[in-house]
This record gives sequence, C-alpha cells and structure tokens, in this order.
Amino acid sequence: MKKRILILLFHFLVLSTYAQKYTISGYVRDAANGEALINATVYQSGTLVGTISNEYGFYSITLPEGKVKLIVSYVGYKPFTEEIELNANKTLNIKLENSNELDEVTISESRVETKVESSQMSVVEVPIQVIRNLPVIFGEVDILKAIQLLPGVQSGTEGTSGFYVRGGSPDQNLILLDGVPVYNANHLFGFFSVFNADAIQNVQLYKGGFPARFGGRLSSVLDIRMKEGNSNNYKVSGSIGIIASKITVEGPIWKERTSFLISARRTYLDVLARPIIAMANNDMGEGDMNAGYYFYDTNFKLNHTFNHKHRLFLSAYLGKDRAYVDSKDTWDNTTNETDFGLQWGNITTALRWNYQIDEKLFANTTLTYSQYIFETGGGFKTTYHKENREDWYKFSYISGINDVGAKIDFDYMPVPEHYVKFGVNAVEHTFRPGVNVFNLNSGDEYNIDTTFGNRNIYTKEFMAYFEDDMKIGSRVKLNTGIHFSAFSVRGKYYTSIQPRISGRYLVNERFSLKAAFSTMSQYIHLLSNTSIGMPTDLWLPVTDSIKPQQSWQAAIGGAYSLLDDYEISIEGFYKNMHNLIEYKDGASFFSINEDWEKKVEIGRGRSFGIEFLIEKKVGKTTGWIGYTWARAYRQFDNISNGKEYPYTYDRRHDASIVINHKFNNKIDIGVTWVYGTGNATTLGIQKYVPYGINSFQLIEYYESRNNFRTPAYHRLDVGVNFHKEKKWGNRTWSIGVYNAYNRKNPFFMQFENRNNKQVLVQYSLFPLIPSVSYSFVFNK
Amino acid sequence: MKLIYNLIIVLGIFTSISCEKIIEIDIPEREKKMVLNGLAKSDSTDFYVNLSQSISILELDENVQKINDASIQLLQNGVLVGNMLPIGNGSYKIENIHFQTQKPYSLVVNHPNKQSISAEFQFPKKADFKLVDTSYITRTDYGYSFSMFAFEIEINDDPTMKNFYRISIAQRYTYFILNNNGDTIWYVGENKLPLSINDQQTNMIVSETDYYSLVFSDELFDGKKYRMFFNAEADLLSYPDETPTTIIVEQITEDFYKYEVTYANYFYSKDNFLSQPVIVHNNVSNGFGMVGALSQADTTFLLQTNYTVPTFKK
Repeated sequence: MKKRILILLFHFLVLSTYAQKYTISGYVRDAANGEALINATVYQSGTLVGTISNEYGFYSITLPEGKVKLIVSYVGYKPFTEEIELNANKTLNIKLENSNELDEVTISESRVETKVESSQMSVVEVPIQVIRNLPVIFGEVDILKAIQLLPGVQSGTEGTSGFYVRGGSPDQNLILLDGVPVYNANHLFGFFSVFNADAIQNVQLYKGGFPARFGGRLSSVLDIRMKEGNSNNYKVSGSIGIIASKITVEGPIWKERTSFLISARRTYLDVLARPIIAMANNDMGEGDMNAGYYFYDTNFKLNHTFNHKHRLFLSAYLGKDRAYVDSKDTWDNTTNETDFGLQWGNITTALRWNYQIDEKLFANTTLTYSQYIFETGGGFKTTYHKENREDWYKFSYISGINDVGAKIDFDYMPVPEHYVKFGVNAVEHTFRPGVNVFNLNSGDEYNIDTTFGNRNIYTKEFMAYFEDDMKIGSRVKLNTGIHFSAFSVRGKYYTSIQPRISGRYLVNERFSLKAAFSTMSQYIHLLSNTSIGMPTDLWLPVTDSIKPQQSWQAAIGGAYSLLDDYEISIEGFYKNMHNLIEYKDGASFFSINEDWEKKVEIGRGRSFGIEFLIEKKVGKTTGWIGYTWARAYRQFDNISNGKEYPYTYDRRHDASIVINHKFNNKIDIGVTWVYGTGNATTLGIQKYVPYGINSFQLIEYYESRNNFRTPAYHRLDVGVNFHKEKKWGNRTWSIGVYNAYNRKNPFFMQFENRNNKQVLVQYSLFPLIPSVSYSFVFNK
Repeated sequence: MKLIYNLIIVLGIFTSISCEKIIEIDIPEREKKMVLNGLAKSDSTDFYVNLSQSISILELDENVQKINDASIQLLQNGVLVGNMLPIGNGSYKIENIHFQTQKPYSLVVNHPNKQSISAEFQFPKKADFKLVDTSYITRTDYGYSFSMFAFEIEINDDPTMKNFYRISIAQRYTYFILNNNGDTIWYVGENKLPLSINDQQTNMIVSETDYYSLVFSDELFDGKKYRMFFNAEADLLSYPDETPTTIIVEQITEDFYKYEVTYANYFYSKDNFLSQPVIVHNNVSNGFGMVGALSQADTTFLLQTNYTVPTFKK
C-alpha cells in the first residue's frame, strides 16, 4: 500500500510540473511476425525529444498538445511515420516492416538511438542476424562465440564459449535468458553454448556503466531475450549440420492474441559413433563396449495477450549433456559389467506478467526458476553364475544450484526527459556443494551404503533498485541509479549499496563524450580449476569467512558517428576487484572430502585497458573492427609468494574483424579474423634438489604464477551462405571453414622427452575444419 | 549414411594432423643457482646441510652436481660461530654446536665461481604440551577394520607469536645381534608409528619430509590451550609388555612449515593437470632450498599391551 502511495505521489508531482501534455503509448512490433522490437527509437520529428521501447516493445512518450509527427525507427526496418493531433492520451501500436539491405534508399529522417546519443556506455547490442551469419566451428551458430569477438571481451581456451570481460572471471558474468540466470552456459566442455540461436531474438552485453537494474555479478551482464513466437503465421525452420540438427516451430494459437515457439536441438555424435563401436566390438571378439556423448536443448515460449494492458508469458529452457561408457564381458561363469557416466544440465523457467498500469507506467512481474545439476557416477558388477552371487559397487557425485525467485520491475516514463525504472527482486538459492554416494555389496561379507560430502546451503538474496535515464538540456544525458542488495546465509547477513552513474555530453550531433562509474557486489562464487566451462565447476555462496566479491569500475570515452553508417567508439576503463577466490596451489575439485572453504584463497584483482570499436550496422556490408589493449592482474597472499601476477586471460592485444557482405538475395559471405596475445601460463624454469626423503625427485622451480606466455592466437574463419526461395519457403546451404589458414594455436603445452632432448611441446586442438549445414524455413 | 561416415573419417584425419607442435622455447637461460638444504635441531650438537646446484628445466639428466668446494659459515647475530666442513657428496657438517632458541642464525655460502647465497633461521621455543589421555580403538573403513591408538594431548600455545608444530610418536625397543665371537650385543632402537589425521584438525598434513609426522599451525587455536586428537596405527602382537612410547612435539620455523605445506601440495598435484602448479616455498636468498630449525619437546610413557587390550602407564 505504501509503495502504491509513493508511486502515485511521484506521478502527481511530475504531472503537476508538466501540465497540458498528453501521452502516446503502445508497442513496437515486427510486422511480419509480431515480435516485440527492443530499443526501437520513438521520437518527435524535428526535435531531439524521444524515447525507446523496452524489453517488451512498450514505449511511452509525453508531448505537448497539438499536431505531432511521430517517427519510429529500428535497425534493419523501414521507419514508421505518423502525424497525430494530440489532444488526449493515445494508444498507438506500431508495426515495422523489414527493410531490404540491398535497397540503397536513404531515409533522411530515419534515426535510431546511436551510441553517440545514448547515456549508456560499455554496452553492445549484437543483432541476431549478424550472429547467424558468422562463420563458426562445425557450422553451429553460437551466441557466446559472437560475443567473444567484441572489444573488451576475451575468449577462453581454443574453441570454447567461455568469455572474460575486462579482466573479470567467467563467474562474474551474469547470463540472463529471458531474465533468468543461467549458471552453466556450456555444452561439450565449453565448445558450444547452450543458446540455440534460432530461438533468440535479442542479445545485449553490458561490460561496465551498469544500469541500477542489474546486479549480482562484477564484470558483465549478458541479457539474452527469446523470441515470443510468430503471432501472425505458422513457421517451421531448422537446420541439419555435421554434428547437430535443430528445428523450431512457432505460430499463433489465437491470431494476434496467443502465440508459441518451441525449438529443439540435439547432437548425434553418439548415433554416428554406434556403428564404429560395433565394428570395434566385433574386432575385439569378446565383450561389448558402448560409449557415447550427446547434448540437447529445448526452448519453449508461450505468450497470451489478454488486452492492451495485460500480457502473460511462459518461457522455459531445458538442456542436458550426457557422456557415458559401459562394457560387459563374460569369462567362464563370471560376467563383469562396468559403467561410468556424467551428465549435467540447466533448467530455466520464467512466468511473466506485463501490466500496463497506465500510459506512463508499465509493470512486469516475474516468477523464475533456475537449476543447474552435475552428476557423475558409475559402478562395477561381477556376477558369479555358478554360485548365484553378485559383488558390486556403485558411486555417484552430485552438485548444483537451484534458484527460485520473484521480481517486479516498473518502467515509468513521466516526460521524455526522464525514463525511470525501479523494482525489487527476491531469490532463494539452494547450493549443493557436492554429495557423494557410495554403495558396496560384496556377498554376505560387506555391505556399505553411505552418503558423505557437503550439506546443502540455503540462502536468500534480495535486490531493489531505482534508476533514471534523464536528459538535462540538449547536450547532457545521465543514467543515475542506486542498487541495494542483501544476502543471508546460515545466519550471516551481508548488505550492499551500489551507486551507479553514466552519462554523455553531446559535443555536436556526431560526437559525444561519455563517462561511467559503477560499483558491484557478488554473493556467489564459482570454484573452478579450469577456464573451459567444466561441468565440475562449483557455484558456492559467500560464508562467514568467504566475503562477497566487490568491484568498482570507472570508464571514460567517446562516440562518433561517421557518414551515418559508421559508429566509432573508444573507451578506457579501470576495474578494481576484491574478495576474489581461487583454488589454493595444488588444490582441485578432486580433493572432494575437504571442506571447500579450506581449498580456496581470497585475494584481489585489477584490470585496465582501452577499447576501440568501429561498426557498421546497415547496408550490404556490415560488421565491425574491434581492438583492445588491456592488462589484468590477480593478487593472493598465499599464491605466487603473495606477489601480483598476470591473470590467465591477461591479454595485452586483442583484435577482431567481423565482416558480413550480402552480394545479392542469393549469396552472402561472413568473414572473421581474430588475434590475441598468448595466454599466461605457468612453466618451470629450473629444477633443484628438495629437502626431505624424496630428494631424488627434483622440484621444478616456478618464478611466479603465469610467468610465461603461450604463442599468440590468431585465426581466420570464412562462411558462405547460398539462399534459394522454394515453393515451400526458403533453404540455405552454408559452407564454412574454421581456421582457414590452419594456424596451430596453443591449447596446452608441456615439457616432454623427444629423441633424448627435453622440449616444450605445444598441443593444438582445431586445425582447418570445413563445415556444411543445410537450413530451411517453411513459411508458405 | 556412407557419405556421413566418410565425412567423419575425413574430419578425423584433419583433426589428427597438426594437433601437436614442438616449439622453440623462449625461456631465458637463467644462471644455475646453488641449492642449500638443512634442518637444525636445538637439542643436537651436530648440524648437517647439503649443497648442490640447480639445473635447467630442459636438462634431461637429473643427476645434479653436488658442490663440495664451497665455504659455509654459520653466524649468530652476524657473528661467526664456525665453518661447516665438507664431508662428501655435497654434505657439510659442524660439530659441538650449542644452538640457542630465539637467537637469529644465518648460513652464508661462498663459492669462487658462483653467486653467494644465504639463509636465515631462528629456533622457536619448545612447545608446552601435556598428554591428556590415551585409548585403543578399532576403526572400520570401507569394510576393513584397523587397530589404532588414540591420543589426546593439550598444547598451550604461546600467544605472543605464530607457532608451527610437527608431531610424531616413537617407540623404543631393544634388539640384539650376535657378534663374531658369539656374544649377544643388545641395542635400543626406535620406531615411529604411522599417524593418521583426525577429522577435527583439518589444517594438519602428513609431513613429506618425515612420513611419520603430522604438521600443523596454531591457526585454529592461536594463543589458547588446545586439546587435539590423533591416531596411530597399532599392531598389538608386535609390542612386548611396557613399551616406552614417546610423544614428540616439535616447534618448527615458519619457513619450514611453509615448505612442508607447499612441498606436500606440489608432490600431490604435480601430475594433476587440473591443478595450478605449486611454487614450493624456499628461504635461500639468491639460491634455492630450505634451511629450517626446530625445537623438540617430548613426553614418554609406558605402553602395556598384555597381548590383548593395551593399557597405558603415564
């Protein structure tokens, strides 16, 4: 009740200040499929007065009474113009039509909110169409690998989807799928991400200058929005690739009221390997062996519009990886059976209710559920047929995290000069830090059934925020806000107040200066031995002794709009991080009997750098060139003798060139080239005799952690798409080459004895890899 | 389907070629350094160290060069106490030395062709502890039963400083040999019992320099009286009546403790590709190695077994 009174009071105050104005509100959608268009620009012709649509396509603009010419623009769409006699509040739902990039039509009054105009900095939006056209390994379109091509974002190990933003760790990235956190975004040990591009509508990455609505991670927010489903027509699309195929079905259940989307993807390495394994079994003669690996994901979304004020969405994601090996052999009267497997996966669900309270106030209430589980297990069984007896043992290990949450977010647009967002969010996390189950049955002699490991940890997290994107005069635009968070774990409470501010000063129509400052707090840690997104990575909460991770980040920069088609931005940043955790020297996931808190060190990190980006989003040729110069360091009292050392993904130079060119409606080409300074790794330089019993086993002396650089990483990928219109729809053959000039990039290195000489051997993972895939759209 | 299998074979060939590459290592050649190792004991009048030379990581032959022609000086508070004399195979010895606790000692090693190295150490005070209780337990792990002695001791930790401990249990026994004349000659020997870590004391590790010892710090009980429990493996039949049993609690230097911890981590993780490499602690300036010191306190009691259930006589 108090909240409602406060909202009304705020409403009244603002309204009383701006009398005799009326509001135009509504939704901006794609005319072809009814999908909401996020961040579409809605503005009054001939002025700088305007706003943008929110995540659901909703916009609201309040203008003085009289004749108004309203223009709505969105990248890749024909602008919409309408003249309105504004003498009362009006609802105007707008449908934008896709433009053909080949039409060289210049629409002088078309304008989208450019980097130059936005108050935000360190934000990149990657159009999903650009992501789809990028050449990728095995032909599998991957959102996270596209993100890695942006300045300020480093890729991890060769071929993997892990990403590192401005010197941060992978656990410091908040990955949201329809607003629900995804805890493990990797398939196949990180070689693929869990996001099926066919089901995705919008991808936005925040690297700094975080708006107050985001919290809970230090380094980035990757906001991925699923498609809503075509509300006009049925559409079936899919693709068949070398290792995976996918299919997406979407359409209206009740035209323009209810629509659905269901998308599924599965790999078939296991199916393809089956005959090869069968041949191997035949060759070996005795016994049967079976092994395989697959992953699948399913995306589902259902939405229903009750009326122009109420809309309900249900979205879900379910994905799983499974690897297994089992064998069976019989000798005389004895049969031995072994099996081993591991599986891991995410489930996310969001039930969302959009409520347009009035022309200026939009509410979004969401119930969320997110789960990540990793399980590994196996066993051995011996059957003695004569004695009619069985000996067996089984073991399993389970870890994971469950979240149940509720949140309510408000968008309030009282006047064009203010875009206010506020809301609250509560989440209950259940951490499962690792439970082992062991069963043994050895005839009548021994029977063991035991469970040991770490107990579940139940925690609660609460967040509240307020932010205002405000224009001050014609040149200054600020996004200010405050984010409050609280976390309770085993009777211990942590709170944090995080001020956020970012702004721009418009020097002229083409050039603006920007600055941002934000503080962040993170109450969960990822305990990871590696950086390749292993399923064994363990999410853990803060405790009495492990404090929340905290950071502050400052950035300054500028944005320049060149020839209307090009946007150039340059940003410098400095980030400071505290209470980071790292495995102690020598500790690993496998020492599972130890209390995890005793396996970690607490320390700090810092990073700084300059990022440069030139991008072109419209026309036949699109793409970007990005370059980052950066340094990232870590310091832990008990690691590397307490001295600061380079972070594993400290990369001084990181460059990427991404080009998509559409020759005509039948052929387009995508080319990417990446270059990065080699990763930091630890190598011994001398050996010496230790004190103690094992004095014959020499100790390798490491000067410091990460004292060595692997050779530089660079790679060229090329992909060509051949489109053809068919009676039933469209088909595309995609042919691509990953690592086109067969660069032997380092995966890992080790010393080995080769021909009586000790040498450093570098192992590479992917040579030149061709790929081909076939995709189709049934839409006629 | 045949096309797909052929495709897999082609891809497999592509993947297998060029997956490894021997690269020219750009590790700058470092000067080989002298390596000094030794552990001084406060109640011993002899002190031994070992001197050798490090080798490059690229050297295959791990027979390191022992250094026998260096001069090693032992100093107390910067004042020469004596020179250590080479006794072969890189070992040096000084005799009739009476170390004093809490006095700074240093070793300075000079060699005509190598950079001088030095190490400092200071004997800790003797530990203040007492034996509280003993018992005999049978533990069953994974279906197997073990006989174990269980000990409870109380350590009175000095609050004025960080303390580091190494604990072990020794049993004295007598044995004889017949000499050439057929005479029986009796000797007294000492066996150390393998110890196992009680779950309560999770910062304990098994020493890698003496497998029969446990090493721990006062992190959990700094400045307090602390009762701790540990177990020792027992084989009842091997003990005669009234076996003298000694609990040894050594206070070790911080450097030596760090060496024990890092060396154990190094040893257990060096073949685990998921672990970060461990930098073994070293306290030798301009060189490598570990020069530590310890002060020993002990208490002895008689263990009576009667071949069945043991009792203890303090």
